Amino acid sequence: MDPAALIFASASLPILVFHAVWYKEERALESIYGIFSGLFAFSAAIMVAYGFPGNMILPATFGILALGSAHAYLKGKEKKSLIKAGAFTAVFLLTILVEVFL
Amino acid sequence: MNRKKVATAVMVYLIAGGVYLAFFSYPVAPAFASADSYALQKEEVIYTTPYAVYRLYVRESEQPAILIVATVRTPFLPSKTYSRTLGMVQDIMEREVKERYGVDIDVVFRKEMSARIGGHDTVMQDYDIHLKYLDGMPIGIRPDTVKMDIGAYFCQERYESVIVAYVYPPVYSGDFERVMASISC
Repeated sequence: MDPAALIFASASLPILVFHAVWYKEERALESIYGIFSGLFAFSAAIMVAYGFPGNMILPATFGILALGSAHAYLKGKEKKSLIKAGAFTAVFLLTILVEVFL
Repeated sequence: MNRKKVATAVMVYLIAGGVYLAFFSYPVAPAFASADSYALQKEEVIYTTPYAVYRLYVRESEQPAILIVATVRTPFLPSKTYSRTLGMVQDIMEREVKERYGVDIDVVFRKEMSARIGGHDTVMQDYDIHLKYLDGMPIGIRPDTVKMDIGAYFCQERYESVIVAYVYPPVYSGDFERVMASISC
């Protein structure tokens, strides 16, 4: 495999490890979405070589994180989750905007 | 504890951003052309983030055919990166044409066309380059117009975008398909 592909895929590992290490029962939903987003970003980056559209990776990763926080807010009504959902949605929109104008 | 977690989260996303930057700066394996009688004359790095390099091939004669194959590190083909590199490649090509033919030039867009470059279906822009010779000699057997075709494709297996510019006089118009097919990333 091309080393560039491994570098590209490994960018998602810190996020994956962070959510796995900080996994807590009371924040299980957000952690599960976080781990899933990291796994998605890692495998999608590898799959670019087989035709997966590379421009989808960052927006989809942050979209999954935003969904996780929104889901957690709907379950627990915690303000913190709502702020996170807003922040991840903003980054999700920002990555789309950057890619449109990049 | 909470502050520690926020700081760790910020650090994690900074590290992820840094790794993405490392990806874009990682040197490319330059795409190449293997068509007979086209000799590699130059290889030069255009910029390092995203890493971009071009190779210049020439079929030497009184009326040379010139091929530039540029390679840019990207996980897809962003339109602005494409436009920027395409503009640079076009500038380099126009400079080469002026030097090698000893001319001033007028570049006129003709049409878009499809071509198969190294196994990838690609949209190419087709230009006429009108030559104004600086030595004052009559045109005679020299061409007054050469063709320039420019196109790009995403080489997914190498996480690179390849931009191709090809200038050829009428005498080498038969080379087009062979040269495009010989390009690999």
